[in-house]
Amino acid sequence: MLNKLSRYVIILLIVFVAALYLPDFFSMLFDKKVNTPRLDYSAVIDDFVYTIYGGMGQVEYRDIKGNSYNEREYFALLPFMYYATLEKWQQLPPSLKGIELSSRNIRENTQVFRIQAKDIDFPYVPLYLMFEAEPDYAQLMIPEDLFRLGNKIEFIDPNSNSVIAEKSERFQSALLDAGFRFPAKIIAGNPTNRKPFDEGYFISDANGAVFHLKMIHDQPVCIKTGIDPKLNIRQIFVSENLRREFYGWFVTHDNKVFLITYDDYKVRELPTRTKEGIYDYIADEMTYRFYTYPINRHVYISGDGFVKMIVTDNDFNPIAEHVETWTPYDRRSASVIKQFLFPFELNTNTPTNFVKLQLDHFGWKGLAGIAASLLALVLFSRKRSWTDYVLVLLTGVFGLIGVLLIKDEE
Amino acid sequence: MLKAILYKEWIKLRWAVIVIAGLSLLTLAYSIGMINYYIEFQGALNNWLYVIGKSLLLRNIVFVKYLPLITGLTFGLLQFVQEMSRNRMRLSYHLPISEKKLLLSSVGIGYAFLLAEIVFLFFGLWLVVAVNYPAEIVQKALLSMIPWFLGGSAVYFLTSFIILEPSWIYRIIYGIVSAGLTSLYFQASTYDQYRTLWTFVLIVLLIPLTILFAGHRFRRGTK
Repeated sequence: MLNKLSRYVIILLIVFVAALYLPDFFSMLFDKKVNTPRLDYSAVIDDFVYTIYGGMGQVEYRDIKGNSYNEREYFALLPFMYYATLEKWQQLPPSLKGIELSSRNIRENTQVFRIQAKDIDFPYVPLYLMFEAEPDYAQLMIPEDLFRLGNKIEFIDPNSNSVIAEKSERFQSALLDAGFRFPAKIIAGNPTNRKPFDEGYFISDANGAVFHLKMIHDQPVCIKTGIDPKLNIRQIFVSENLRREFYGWFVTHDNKVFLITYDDYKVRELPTRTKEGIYDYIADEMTYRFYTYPINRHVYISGDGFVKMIVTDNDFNPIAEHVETWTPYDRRSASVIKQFLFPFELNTNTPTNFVKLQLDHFGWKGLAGIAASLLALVLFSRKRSWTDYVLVLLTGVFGLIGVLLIKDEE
Repeated sequence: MLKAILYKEWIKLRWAVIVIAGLSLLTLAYSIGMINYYIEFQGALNNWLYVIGKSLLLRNIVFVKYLPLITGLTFGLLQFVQEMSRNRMRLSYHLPISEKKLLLSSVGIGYAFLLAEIVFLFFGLWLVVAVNYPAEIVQKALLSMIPWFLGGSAVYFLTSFIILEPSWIYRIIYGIVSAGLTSLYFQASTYDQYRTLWTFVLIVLLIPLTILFAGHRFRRGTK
């Protein structure tokens, strides 16, 4: 009995390892690269344009009406993207729609950010740096201490590995005075001194209210932002930019994206979904990009098999939207064959940075592989205990490999 | 009878246990040395920033990652290679104890030594890290070590299992499976990267059971 059990443990380990590596190996051998279009919006012709890389250095430049361009013409359509090259070619026009087109003006009025699944949820050590927001020096200085923020705020001195009581108390009372309810939930800042100035941290408290905490002349400044806790914020991002239009942005649990503006912390929702209701933003699976240019603002939502672009004017009124699609991974031939061949696959990679064991089963398609495996077992290797058949019924080709390799010993 | 087996395994392992105990001390000393070196030359604050942002601590305690793995491999080889050469294991099977009890207690004793090493490294590192770093870093460092320890344990059981298997073809198959399993435990590149460890713990708990099948095949003389 125990010997039988022991054999099945071995087979299960084989099934486990096979399900972990074989489907991946299969994809690696047979999957082909799909050339995906790179979509953009030209403020010159007010239409969507795209490039497709055909391999061997061949690039096609087109707009969605079907006109094709050469490289120089195409670059000229996208002055906010290629201004440096255009300037070198002396092809940057002096102005467009009344906006001055100089490198400097474009640079100063452009701001870009990207949200990926791994930016929202990631392994991290919960210790933070509080910069002096108005330093005596030309640039921001790395502070001498770190702080932790959970049930209270505590500054820690690395030299002695101990809490700096006085400073901690000052910040603690600043938070409490602003109406902060411990424990803190989301703590978002931009801990680098390679930025023009510092806006400190945006912190959500136990009630979901968002507070803005920074340090000016060594004194805490804490402001309750009035951002609605009902928005159900999932992650906040802070990015200091000299345009001073927004402090940062946040993603909510229902996949909406908002800017936190300098206008008294009023939030502004960015487009994440469109009328058709397809290709709407899902934070765990897609990448969200936001570009603000001197003319227009662009939103790109890209995922497996599509890129969707929504263009708004400078006041966020929608102008145009467009979706380019290609065959998603699930429907490419290598993947389809994989789904028929194997009943499921295991993997440890997540779109976030965590290692997590996950099982993807291929549903009814996997039944084909299971049926073939059972048939093979019946045809070529009879006289088995019923448990072998049950195992193959449940695990398909993985189980077949296991029971064929490890013979029963009776 | 169990006492006699224990004594026999101890004789096989004693030199290795002493060497590995020494290596464990050296590993701890190396970790202390590296941590202090970096704190001294980077300055405490910079060092903390590197430890937090660049996972520097994982590089400073890198021997903790591999020592249990090496230990598992060594113990497995020392305990069972001699037994399997010229079928000496047959003699053990004549002892008045069931083969299952015999195999599991041999493996259990070897694992007890490995576990002692793991416990020593865990608490030793806890002390070392806690002196220099705040609770947040200590917690992350300790959690990061758990998959390595599970991986080392898996390697010990898998090595014993492969050696106890009488047929070379099976050994090769088991070797491939073992490589696939073991690599699961060494995937992290930063602190506390494993979302849940329960499946990984379960796998390590299942592996000792495989040894019974190998032993059974040996008794039957399967090639």
